Amino acid sequence: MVNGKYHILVIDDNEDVLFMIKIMLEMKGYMVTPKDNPENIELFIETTLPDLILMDMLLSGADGRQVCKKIKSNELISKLPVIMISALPDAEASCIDAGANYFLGKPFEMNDLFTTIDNALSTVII
Amino acid sequence: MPNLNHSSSLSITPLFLSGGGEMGKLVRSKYLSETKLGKPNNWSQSLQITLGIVLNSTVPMILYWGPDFLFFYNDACNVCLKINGQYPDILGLPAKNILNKKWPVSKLMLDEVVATGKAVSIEELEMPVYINGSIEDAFFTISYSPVNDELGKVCGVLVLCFNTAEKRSVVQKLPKKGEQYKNGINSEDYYQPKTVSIDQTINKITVQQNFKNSLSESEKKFRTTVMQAPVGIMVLRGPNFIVEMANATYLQVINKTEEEFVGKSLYDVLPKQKQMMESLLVDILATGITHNTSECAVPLNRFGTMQIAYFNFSYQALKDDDGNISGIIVIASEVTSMIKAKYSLAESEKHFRNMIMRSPVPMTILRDKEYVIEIANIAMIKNIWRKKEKYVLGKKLLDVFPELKEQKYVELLARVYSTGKVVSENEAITYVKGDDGMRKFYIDYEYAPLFETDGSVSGIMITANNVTEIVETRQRLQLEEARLRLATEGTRLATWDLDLQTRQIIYSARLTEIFGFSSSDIIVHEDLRNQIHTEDIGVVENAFKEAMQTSIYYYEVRIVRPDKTIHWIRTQGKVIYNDTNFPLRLLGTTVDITESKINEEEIARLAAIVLSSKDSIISEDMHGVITSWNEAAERMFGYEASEILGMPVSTLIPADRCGEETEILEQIKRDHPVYSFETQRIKKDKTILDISLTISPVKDSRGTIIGTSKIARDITKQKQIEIQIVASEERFRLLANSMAQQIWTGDAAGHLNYFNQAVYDYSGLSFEKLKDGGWVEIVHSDDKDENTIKWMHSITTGEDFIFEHRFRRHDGEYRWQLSRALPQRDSNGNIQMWVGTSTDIHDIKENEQQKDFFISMASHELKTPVTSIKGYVQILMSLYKDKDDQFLKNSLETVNKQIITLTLLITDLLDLSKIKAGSLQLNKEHFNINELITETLKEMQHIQPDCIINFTGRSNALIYVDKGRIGQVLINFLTNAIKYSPNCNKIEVNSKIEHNELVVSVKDGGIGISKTDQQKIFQRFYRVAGKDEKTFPGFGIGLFIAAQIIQRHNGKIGVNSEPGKGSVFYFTLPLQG
Repeated sequence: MVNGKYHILVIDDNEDVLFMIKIMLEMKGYMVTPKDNPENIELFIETTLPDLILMDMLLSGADGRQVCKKIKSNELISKLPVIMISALPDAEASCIDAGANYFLGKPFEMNDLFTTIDNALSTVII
Repeated sequence: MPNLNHSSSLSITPLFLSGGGEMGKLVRSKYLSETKLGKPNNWSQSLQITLGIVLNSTVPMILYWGPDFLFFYNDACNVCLKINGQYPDILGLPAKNILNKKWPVSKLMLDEVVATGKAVSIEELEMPVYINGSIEDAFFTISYSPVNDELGKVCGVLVLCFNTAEKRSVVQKLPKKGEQYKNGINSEDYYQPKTVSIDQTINKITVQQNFKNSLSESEKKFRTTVMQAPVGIMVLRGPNFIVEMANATYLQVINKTEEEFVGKSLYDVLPKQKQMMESLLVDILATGITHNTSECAVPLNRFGTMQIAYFNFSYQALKDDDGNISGIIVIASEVTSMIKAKYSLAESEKHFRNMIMRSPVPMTILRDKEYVIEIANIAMIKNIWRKKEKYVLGKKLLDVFPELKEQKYVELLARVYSTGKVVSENEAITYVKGDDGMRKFYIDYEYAPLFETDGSVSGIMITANNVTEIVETRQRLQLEEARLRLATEGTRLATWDLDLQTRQIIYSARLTEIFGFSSSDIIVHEDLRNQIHTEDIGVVENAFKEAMQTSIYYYEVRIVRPDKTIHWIRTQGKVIYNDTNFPLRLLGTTVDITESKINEEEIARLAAIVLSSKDSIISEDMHGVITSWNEAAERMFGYEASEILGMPVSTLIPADRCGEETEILEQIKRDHPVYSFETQRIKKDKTILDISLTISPVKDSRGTIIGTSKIARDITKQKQIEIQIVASEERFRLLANSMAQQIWTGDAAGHLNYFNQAVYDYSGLSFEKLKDGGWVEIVHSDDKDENTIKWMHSITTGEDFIFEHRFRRHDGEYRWQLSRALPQRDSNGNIQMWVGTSTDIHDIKENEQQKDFFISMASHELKTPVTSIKGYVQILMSLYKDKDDQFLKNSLETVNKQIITLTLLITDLLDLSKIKAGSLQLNKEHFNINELITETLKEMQHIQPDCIINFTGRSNALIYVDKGRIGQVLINFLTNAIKYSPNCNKIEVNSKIEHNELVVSVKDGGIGISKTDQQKIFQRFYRVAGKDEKTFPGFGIGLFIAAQIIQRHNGKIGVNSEPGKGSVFYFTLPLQG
């Protein structure tokens, strides 16, 4: 939490999508850190400790699932909820396998995104 | 006239006994039993004649015959005496034994007639007779007439009876008036002749005079009855013989009316009577003695014609109370028929001699003990004696025929003389020397004594029936029979002799064997007839009828033996007749011809086979000369039998095969049993014929080969077909080999046994390497297992084989092949072989994979901008939801909807590519179908808020499926329902459990789908075409994807629809667990 707001890390290689999500989440009152690549992302997470990570599955130059696995295998940050989004709906299983807590297909309904985030955050709190 | 039939030795009824009604029959049967008289043929002529008259007379007659008064009567007696059936035994017995108590009376009468030789009559004789089961009294007027024998001696008494019961009852009524008259009726002299009784009755009538004036009504009735009595009655009174009364019968007799006669003097009315009758009448008045006149002839006018009638008149005195004679009663009884009978008897006696003379039976009468030939008929003189009449008649028998002295006859004649008894013998051998020399005869003779009145024998009547021919014929037959029996003993021939009269059959033991009995069994003719096969009885009957006409008996029939086996017999016979052409016997033979019949049938069957055979059947002798030629041979070779028989068989053999025949003959001689081969022969028109030839030897009964039999079948067509098959096979090979496609075949068990050139070229392997299971080696190791499983599945189920697999090319490269194989079945549906093709689809497949990859990539790439657009639109909608700018809001709403549609399209494309790639994965989970339906509907409602979708029939079924995918199918159904329904307010979703399956259906009231389209809509890129097509956008892959999803869940998908009425799309899913 930063200033009473949930801090959400959004990673997507498409800038348009990245900022669209950022706007949506900020509209909802979340604090958003957008990132368009997963470079040094582990370190960044360790240092900023966001409340939630929203991540595209396919990132240019990297596989979001590999990133997720790393996060989930890092004891410091493994408890952080991860929502993975993808234009490939069949990727859900592999994303879950990789440790993602939630999956959302692209394109998504804004409300679905909010619901999923709410669920993820409440789970963490509990 | 009686006519004796002596032409046969058989017991044929003499003519004089023919007819005569019941008594005739009785007499005929009677003589067969033992009586004193013996055979009728031996009876005296007089008896024969008289009995002939008696039996045929309608007047009741009784004949007492001979010293014992043997009793005969006729049918007419039956009627009045009622003794028919009750006393048949009395016939021909002595009267003494029959009449019992009455015998003394009857004997008096009979003795008188015999003694005097004159007729006697008794009137009103009361006789107890048997009527209706009891003895009752009956009254008769009876006439006893003597019957004289040939010598004029009385030898019998003929009795004629008239039933006068009626008259008697009339007379009996009188005494009933007064008790004093009873004694007349109940007289002790019961059996006295009734003249006495009538006397008394007349007395009673006399007495009646005193009561004359006080006649009661009943007496009037009596009088009336008397007046109408059938007996003529007249009463004369006083010395002038005034007619006091005369009844109708009497008036008829004298041909006068009552007015003319009654009350007048008899002499006045009948003056002629005075002269005849006066003294008689006066005498009666004076003495009271009754006077009778018999058999007076009276001319009568009857039925308009004058006839002579005969009457017996009785004149009796009538006395008054004081016993004084005051009148005379005259009773006239008609005896016409009796008289006529008597006259006819006398007449017949006159004809006796004539009869002898005319008799066809040789007869003669010898007189005196010297045996002087008194008369002899022509039959005797001409046929037996064979001498001139003048040298015979009046001569002594033994002088004429001295040869008789040496025979037994002299003694026999003497015996007749001494005993008075008839001597007779049948078939006696007699030698008689006629003018033409000595001859031997078989004679049925009878020596009958002729009696004098004193009972002494004065002559002998001889009848000599010549039966020589019959006896000799029989003897000859017996001889022939004996000979035949001897001749047939060694053979299997049965002989028999059937008596056509009695149906008695005499037979040899073989006959019983033929009919299936043991030779010791006794069989009768009927047994044999009963064994004739029912279908053949007509044959026997016809044969018998024909035999009766032609004398020849012949038939061949089947018999059924007691053991039920059927045998054929042949019977031949001949009818034997007597002199008068009367069939007496049937002689014949019977033989069992079963075997020859079977042979005949077999030969006939073989002949029929040969005749009807479609193959030529030809036989040759050992020199190669054709000896038989059937119809098929005529057709096949073109030669008529008449042309070819006797010709050498080489006629049919082509020049280049001439050695063939010699070789065959050699083979046959070496006992090569049957020899078959294909060859050629020449037809009559010189064309060559392909035939298959089967040759077998023909042997005689000793087993020596005497020729050959050949069966030739035209195989021209067969040859042509063979050539055609070879050609067609060659064409097929050429065709198959020219194809780039790999073609192969396998047997029913799936073993590959043919590959076209393309297979060899592709694989670089030989047939030896590929055949059977060898081909599996070229299948890619990843495809091998599935390939084998699929192929064996098709082999066992007969389902078509379709499979994509990689084959190793000769250069080691694996290329994708689409292999298809279809089973070839015979007419019974059994798989004969598999015909398969393998098409190289490697390039196609690569192209497709590239395309699918492209689609996959494209859809993924498309989604990124869509995600962005959709996100911003939602942000905008969220930002401006509280603003009043309706246009903006609507615009954003529209953009959002279109983005949803676009998203679905992209999803579909992606799914399609996944399905093609086989990478459509299912993430199954447990849930309640109703939850999914409710969620989906909510979603749809969100997208299409205008549509009203009803959810009915909630099944609450638990299923284990990929929720997202099933939801996708449901969305597909719903979007279609909305898309194709102009008014989307009638959509109904239903879930139910049927046959252990979940059925989810979506019903719309839309445009509907035609039957043809229904079968195609689940195919890829298929869209229902129509003018409204533009209205319904889409790639046409939604239902294809839905179908693929449902199939992967082992469910079914389908549609029921009618154009214009809407559609029901449904899918089924297996229930969980």
